[in-house]
Amino acid sequence: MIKAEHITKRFDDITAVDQVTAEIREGYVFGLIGTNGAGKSTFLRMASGVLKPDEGTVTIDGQPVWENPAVKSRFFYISDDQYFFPNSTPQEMMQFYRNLYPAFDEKRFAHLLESFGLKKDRKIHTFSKGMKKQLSVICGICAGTDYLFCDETFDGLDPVMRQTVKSLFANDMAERNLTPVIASHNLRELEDICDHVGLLHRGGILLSRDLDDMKLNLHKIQCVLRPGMEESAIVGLDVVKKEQTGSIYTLTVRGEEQQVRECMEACDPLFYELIPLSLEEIFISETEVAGYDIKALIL
Amino acid sequence: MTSRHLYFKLLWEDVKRKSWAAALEGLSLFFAMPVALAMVLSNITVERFGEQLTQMERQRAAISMLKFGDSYPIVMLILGVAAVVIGISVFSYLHSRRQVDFYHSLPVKRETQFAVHASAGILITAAVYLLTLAMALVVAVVGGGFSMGLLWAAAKGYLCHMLYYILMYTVTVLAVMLTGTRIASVLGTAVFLGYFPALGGLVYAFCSMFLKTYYGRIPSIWTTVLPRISPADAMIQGISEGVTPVRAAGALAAILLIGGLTLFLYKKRPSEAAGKTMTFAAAGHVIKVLMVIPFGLAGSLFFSAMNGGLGWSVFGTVVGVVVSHCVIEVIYHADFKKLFCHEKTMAACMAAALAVVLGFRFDVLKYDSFLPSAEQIVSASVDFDTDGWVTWEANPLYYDRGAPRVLQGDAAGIEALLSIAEEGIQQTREREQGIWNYQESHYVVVRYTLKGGKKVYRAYQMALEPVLDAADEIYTEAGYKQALYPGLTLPEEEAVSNMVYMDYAENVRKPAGTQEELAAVYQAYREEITAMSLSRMKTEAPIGKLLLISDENAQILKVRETREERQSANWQPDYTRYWYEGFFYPIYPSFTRTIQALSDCGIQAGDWMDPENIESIQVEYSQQVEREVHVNADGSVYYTQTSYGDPIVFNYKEPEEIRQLMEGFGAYNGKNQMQEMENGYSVTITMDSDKGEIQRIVAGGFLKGKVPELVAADAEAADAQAADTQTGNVGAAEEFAADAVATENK
Repeated sequence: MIKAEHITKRFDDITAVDQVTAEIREGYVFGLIGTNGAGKSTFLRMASGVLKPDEGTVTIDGQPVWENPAVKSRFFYISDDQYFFPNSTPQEMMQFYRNLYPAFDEKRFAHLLESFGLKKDRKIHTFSKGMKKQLSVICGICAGTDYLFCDETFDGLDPVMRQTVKSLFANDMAERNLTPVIASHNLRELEDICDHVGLLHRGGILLSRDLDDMKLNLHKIQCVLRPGMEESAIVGLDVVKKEQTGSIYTLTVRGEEQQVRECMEACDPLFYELIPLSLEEIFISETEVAGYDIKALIL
Repeated sequence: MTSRHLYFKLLWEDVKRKSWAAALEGLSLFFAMPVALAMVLSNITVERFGEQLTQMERQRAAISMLKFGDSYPIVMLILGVAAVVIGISVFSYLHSRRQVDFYHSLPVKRETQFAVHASAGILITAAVYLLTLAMALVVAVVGGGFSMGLLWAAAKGYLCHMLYYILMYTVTVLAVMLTGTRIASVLGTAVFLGYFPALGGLVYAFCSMFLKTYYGRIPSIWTTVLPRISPADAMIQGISEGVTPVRAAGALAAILLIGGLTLFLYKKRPSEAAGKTMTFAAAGHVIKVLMVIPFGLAGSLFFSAMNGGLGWSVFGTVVGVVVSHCVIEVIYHADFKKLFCHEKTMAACMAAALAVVLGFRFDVLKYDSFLPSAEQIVSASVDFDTDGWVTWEANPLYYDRGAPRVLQGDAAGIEALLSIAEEGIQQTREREQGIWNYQESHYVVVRYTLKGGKKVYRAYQMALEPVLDAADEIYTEAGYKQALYPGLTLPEEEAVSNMVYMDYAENVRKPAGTQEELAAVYQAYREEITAMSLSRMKTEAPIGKLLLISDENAQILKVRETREERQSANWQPDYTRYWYEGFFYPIYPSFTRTIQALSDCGIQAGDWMDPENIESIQVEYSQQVEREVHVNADGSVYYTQTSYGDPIVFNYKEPEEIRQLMEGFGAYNGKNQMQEMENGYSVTITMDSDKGEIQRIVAGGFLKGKVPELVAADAEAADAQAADTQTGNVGAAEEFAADAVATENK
């Protein structure tokens, strides 16, 4: 398990990550979502031992990551702009990684290259952005590490490749208990793959929960009140957000579904229904609560 | 995988990626070594050097190209450039966030990463240089044959070249560790290579420019220590003066020290420093201050050199500080808008630089007026700068460095010396105030050794006239004279065996006499030169020179001649070398005992001045005239700026005339510094070739106050004739003045 405890990272007078505490359990996909500049990449760079936290520690199974090759050999870090040696080929990169990751699967590497339509002897600098992303994922998958840190890895992949990569992750999770940690600002990318999300906002963590829990605890209600009925008649709900279009009210509320339904039944509106929230809506709601106009940025 | 295996695997991968550097370096060395050697050897032909010498000459040429030294510095030049390029290249990944993320996320310890990259940079050059050296050796063996000397020169050359390559390389890597961009690394390397020598030069220039009594020939921290704190200087020293065990150990120690510091910084270096100019903000501030203040001083120096005014000096300081501070801030932040950030630091730097400039200019520390009391002085000496026609330096054979030997001796007359120094201080003030008014000046240097062992030197550009008695008191001290003329302390046998007389034409004759007769010459000379005073030197011109040299120095000069003999087909034994090196001492006309003793040994000192040996004497007399005509407001005329008219030539051939002329004659060759000559007279003596004299012409003048009467009469007649012409000029000037006044009134 990866455990980040009160980690803080400052760049000059900017606090990129501020007192973040999170746990990443093995065998689950951890999605790290957040707005631009929320600190996702910084968090991942600290988790992968690139950056040293100014405060706090990052450990994997109790062992600190910083300057610990034994621990670092348990993960593979794919940065948002992965570096390949100048003038190198996929084959040469594979040979390099093979020296560092004892469990590197050469056969699978060759097989995946072929599956993705990448030539092992072609110069990487002639690859498109998406092809480079594919190659970096293949390297990461084949490294055979317990964890795979992906920073905006799906950005640049076409939908087919995105699904292919997701299925690769799913396969390795099932076969060897791989734990992907995926940072992205694209909520739709993570929605169908993440088990657990950490929501970063302005360097701090807003929430870190299982996706199912999040979905179960935040609801959108559309309702129409009876004639003469005041809005104040709806009581007992933890309303996060309220919108009104004509006689239709749209409420975003916290709480368990059963409890919400009971409240609505008790209020006896003319009509009401619970609409499932997408991850994007959950994200928007949480960040808006924190005073952040997320729509202006990501919608 | 063991860390050793991992190290070698990563090393190989890194070396492969730096193959471009190996290729460039290899190509340069290929042309500089085997190709250049082959060209040199092909020019050494049997036709030019003969059968026997050709092989030897080829071997010599090969050794001189393969060894480490100034005979062929091209290899070190290439390696020096390679050290900087490769040093920056191997750690350039630290400048890129992408690459830092890549390398630092790998499961490799930072020490291993460092070792891999650092050793790759050394290994590349070691391998490439070894390969080209092997090729050059093959060329050398094929062209000139094999010898152990050749092999030894190549092996030693390889080690020395690599030693200084690694030194330059580690310093470059240190610069990379402290910076976050490539350009900053290059600038950082330049600073490390040149900062301390430049700082030393700056302090020296400041002392020389602003301290009027500063004596710059004495080794000081800024002339000996600061210039040495540079790998480039260490390399140059090694090349020019050879790699001694001490130098090699010093370079090795520096490599280890800098290497250790570099590793420490590498481990401390934050990954986020990639792309920033300075890795450590605190170091950046310190470096900025260390750069800005000297730039301010340099600005002051520049403007002071252009225009000595205080205002310009302050302006130069301000400009130097502001410009350098702004440039550094822009470089640090890569943002032009940050030009004036950290204005408090800039103000502090400016205050510090101005304090130094004003401190120097106004001599806050009273450097120029330093005068110890007699009680503070343990010993002291003085150089009157009156015997410069021969050079007696601390090292007799190298007169480019160190203080004159006389300053190492001790003068007994401390009070006399202090009075001279006091007069020097006074005259220095007068010079500053523009009221100094003497005809002659000497560069008088005083050395005090104070209680506690501190040595203090001061130099005064001063006239000796006001303190001539005090100067004579010191100058005629036996101990002082022995320090001034070390030949006076030679063992008698040594002095006598090497003694040679040199005449006006630098013709050399060996005195012929018994040991006693020769010893008498030495003894007489010692006594007479010891008694010779500066006052007397003003009125006497040397008539000949006597060689007094130790066996050791004679042997050194002989070896040097022998070496040159090999290099020059026209070499001839030449005592002028001894003259130039300062081993010939002057014989004055008043040295009657010496002249008599020499006569007993068959040498007629000054015999060339005998009228019988002279065919004629030509005196060129240039009349002193006032050229500038000035008109006062009241219309009166006055003249300034003395100059000389066209020379008038007088010829004298009668023996009596020649005798009279020779009494006041002083030759320019061998002139002593106290000797005062009459202005306006140029005397050319034409020797009588029928008397066996070789040199036809001797040039000189008349000693002050010794213009012969007949010449003075001829000159007076010439002056009278010229005065008539001048009267006409004055009339014209007065007419001009009258016109000017009339115009003014109108």
